[in-house]
Amino acid sequence: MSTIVQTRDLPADWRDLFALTKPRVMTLVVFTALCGLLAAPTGMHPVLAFASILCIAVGAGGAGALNMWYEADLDAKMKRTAKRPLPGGRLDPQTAFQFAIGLSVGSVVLMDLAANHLAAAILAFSIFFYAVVYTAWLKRRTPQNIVIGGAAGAFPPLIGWVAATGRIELLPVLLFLNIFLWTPPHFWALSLFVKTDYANAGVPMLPVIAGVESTRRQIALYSLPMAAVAIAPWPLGLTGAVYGVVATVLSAYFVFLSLRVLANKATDPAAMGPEKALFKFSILYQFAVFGALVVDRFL
Amino acid sequence: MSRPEDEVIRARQRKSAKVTAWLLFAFIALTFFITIAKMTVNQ
Repeated sequence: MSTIVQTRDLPADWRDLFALTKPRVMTLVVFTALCGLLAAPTGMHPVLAFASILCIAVGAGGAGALNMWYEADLDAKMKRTAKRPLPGGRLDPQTAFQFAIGLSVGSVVLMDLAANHLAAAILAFSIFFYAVVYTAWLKRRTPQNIVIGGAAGAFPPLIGWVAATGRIELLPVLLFLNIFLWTPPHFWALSLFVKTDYANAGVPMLPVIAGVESTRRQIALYSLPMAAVAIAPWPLGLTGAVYGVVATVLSAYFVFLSLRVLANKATDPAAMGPEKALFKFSILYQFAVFGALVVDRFL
Repeated sequence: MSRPEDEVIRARQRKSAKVTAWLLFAFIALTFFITIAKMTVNQ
């Protein structure tokens, strides 16, 4: 008698459910949300602040799980994602969907209890935006999927701020715009050197539809308003010089790396050093700019 | 005596039940502390 048990027939393993929440993506979400909350002029009770950040993390996890549930067929076609719990056959879709809905609804309800209605409403909208507008509607239909879908990832600092203050103000809107304009160069740089994967899965990423040269132009074009929005809080008097200097230096370097991408003519992923450098720096960039915002606030 | 398949399933169910119990406990504790914190803030 065989002792092999089909993984799909087993109850879900908690590690697979945890993987469904995209914990690596959650790191930046939690960090920017925390920075938004800490940069707010109104203090917050530590327990309520902790609960609010937890709700944003869990909400992002719920949205990520909904994304993986809906995209299991796509993930199976790409080397980078083929071993995820659903395409890997370690989790059944119904469990994944129930888990995702549970996290999403739970996070919004708890956010309403811990912070305020506005923060809970924005959290609910951001989950809807990522799961429905980006994942189900735009991703497979338009090469501009990342531009609009990027808005979902831009909400955390705004939610963090609103959780603390109960209001939407100019600084968190600029933080939102910064991530919104940062997302296309960040993902397009990645999609340039993993283009084959996206092409095989039939995802209309910009390099697949418009070509490498056009994508490089768009990366450079987006980096300019992104830099302007990142620096803007300083001349507008919303932050101090610490943030201003860090944002200016790092944004200038981001634009420089984007221009190096623009100047690169290689089509072979192995020769895409500038694209890889921009992708790596873009992650560091957000951590450093948001970190500087908090340091500036407490100096 | 149970089959090896049953043992694997039971082990996975026990683990899931423990994780769920811890999560529920954390949720209840968090709700309690949020309520207390809200009362403190509103005073």
